[in-house]
Amino acid sequence: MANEILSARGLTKRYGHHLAVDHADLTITQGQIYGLVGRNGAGKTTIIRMVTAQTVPTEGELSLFGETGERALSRARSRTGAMVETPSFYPYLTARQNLEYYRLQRGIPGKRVVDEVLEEVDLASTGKKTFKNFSLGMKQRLGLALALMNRPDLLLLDEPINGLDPEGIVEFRNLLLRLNRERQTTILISSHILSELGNLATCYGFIDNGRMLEQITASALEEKCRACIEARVDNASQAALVLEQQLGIRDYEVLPGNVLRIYSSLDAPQRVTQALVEGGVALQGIESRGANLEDYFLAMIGGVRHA
Amino acid sequence: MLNYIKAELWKVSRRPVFYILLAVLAASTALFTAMCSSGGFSYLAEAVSTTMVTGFLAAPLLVQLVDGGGAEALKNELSFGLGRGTVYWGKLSAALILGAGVCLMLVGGSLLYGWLLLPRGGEEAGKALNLVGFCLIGALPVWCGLFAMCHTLALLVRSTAAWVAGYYLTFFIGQPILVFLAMLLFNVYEATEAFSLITAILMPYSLLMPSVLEDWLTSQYQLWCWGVGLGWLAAAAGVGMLLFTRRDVR
Repeated sequence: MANEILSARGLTKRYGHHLAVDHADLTITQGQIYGLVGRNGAGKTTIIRMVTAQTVPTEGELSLFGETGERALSRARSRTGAMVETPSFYPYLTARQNLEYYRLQRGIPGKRVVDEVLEEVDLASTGKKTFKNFSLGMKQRLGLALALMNRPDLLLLDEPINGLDPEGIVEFRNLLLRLNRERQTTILISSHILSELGNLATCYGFIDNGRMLEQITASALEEKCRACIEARVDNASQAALVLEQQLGIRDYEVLPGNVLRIYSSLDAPQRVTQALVEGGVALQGIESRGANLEDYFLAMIGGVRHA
Repeated sequence: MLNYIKAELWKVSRRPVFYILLAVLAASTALFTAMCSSGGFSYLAEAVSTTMVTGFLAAPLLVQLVDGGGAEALKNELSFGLGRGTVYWGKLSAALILGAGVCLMLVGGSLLYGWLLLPRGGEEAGKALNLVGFCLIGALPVWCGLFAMCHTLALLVRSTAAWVAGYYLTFFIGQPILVFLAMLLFNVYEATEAFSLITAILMPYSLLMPSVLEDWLTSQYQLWCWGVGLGWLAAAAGVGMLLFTRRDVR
C-alpha cells in the first residue's frame, strides 16, 4: 500500500527457548498514532527494538516506508526518530553537547536545530549540567529531543512518559498531537499507561506473550466499548419487535445467540425488562455493559489466558 | 563515515579527561626529552625511536576516550540507520586518528625542540631522523592491530575495568606463557628466526622493543611489522564485527 509506513510480517524474536515475539504482524499507515498495548514483558519493546535495528529478528519481514532489505531499511531508518527504554547519552556531555554530537554524526545541517529542539522539549536552560546529573524526566525530554531532531516522518516511542511529571505528561501529549497534526508525523507509541494512550492513539495493537492479539482503530474500539444494555432472550426477533413497537427503540443490534445490545434507554433498564416480559419474551439475563481501553484489554488477555 | 569520525573526534575534544591525559603524556615527554638532551639532537632522535612501545601501553587509554561511556548510547546510532559496520569502523578510525595526532604532537614536539635548540651535525641528524621515520613506519601497523583489539574489547565487554585489566594482563602474563607453550609445541628455541616470528605474532609489541630494534633495521623487519600488525587488525576486527553485528544493543 502506498501509505504504509511500517509493516511487519511474521516478526519473531527468540532468545534461546523463550519466544519474546511470536510471528507478529503489524501495519501502521501514514498519520496514525498507533498505541502498542501490552503488559510488561509482552514483547512491545522487543518489537520496537527490532524496528530500530537494536536487535536482529530471528525471522520475519520488516518494511519501513515501503523499503525492505537491510541496506534499504538502514536508509529508511534515517527518516525515523526513536526513544527506546531509558534514554542513554554520553554522561559527561551536556544536553546541548550530546545533541550537537548526534547532529554532526548524522550530518544534519545548521547548528540552530539543536537549540530549536531543546526549546521544544523545555531543556534550553540546562546550561552546563551534564547528562549524568539529569533527573529521569530530563533524560526523557532529551531522548525525545534527539528523536525529533531530524524532523522524522515516523516516531517510535517506548514508554515515553515514564518519569515525566503531570505537567510534563500534558506537554508531551500536546507535542505529539501537534506533530501528528502539523507535520503528519506517524507515531508508534508503546505504553502500559492505558489512560494516556487513550488520549492519543488513533489505532491500537494489543500484544500478549509475544503474540499480536488484535489491531483495531480507535473508532472501532469505541464502537465495541460503547455503553449498552445487553439482554439474552429466547427469541431475538420477537424481542426486537417489542423494542421497536412498544418502546420506540431503533438503536440496537442483534448478536448471535439471541443476544440484543440496546444503545438507548440506558438510564431505564427496568423499563426495557418490563416491556420484554410483558411482550412474552423469556428473559434469560440482562445487564448494563460498557468498557474503556483498560477493560477491553484486560478482557482480551483474560480470555486468551483461559482459552 | 566522515561525519561519524568528525563527531567522535568532536566528542573526545569535549572530554576533560582527554586534556588531563594529554598533559600527563606531554609532561612525560618533556621529562624524557630533557633527560636525553645531553647528547645532542642525534642522541635524542635515537632515544625517541625506542619509545614506540609506549603506543602499546597508551592504546587502551586512547580507545577508551572514544568508546568510553557510550555502550548504552549505541542504540541512538543504530536506530537512526547507521550500520553496525559504520559504528565499528568509525569509532576505530577515530581512535586511530586520535592516536596518530597524539603521537605526532609528542614525537614531533620532542624532535622539534631538539632540532631547534640542540647541537646537530648535518649527516648525523639526517640519519637519526631516518631512524625515527623507519621506526614510526614499522610501529604504525602494530599500533593499528593493538587499537583494533582494544576497540573490540571495549565494544564487547561492558566493564571497562575488566577489559583494560584483561588487555594488560594478557600481554604481560598471558602472551609470554603462550610463547613458551608454542616453543614447547613446535620445538623451537631462542635465537632462532622461528622463535622470533612466534614471539612477534603472539606478542606484537615486542616488535617495538628497543632490544629488537637495536640490530634489526631491515626491510624484513618492516615486513614482519606490517604482516603481524595488519594480521592482528584483521583478526580483531573480524571477531569484533562478527560478534557486534549479532549482539543486542540495549
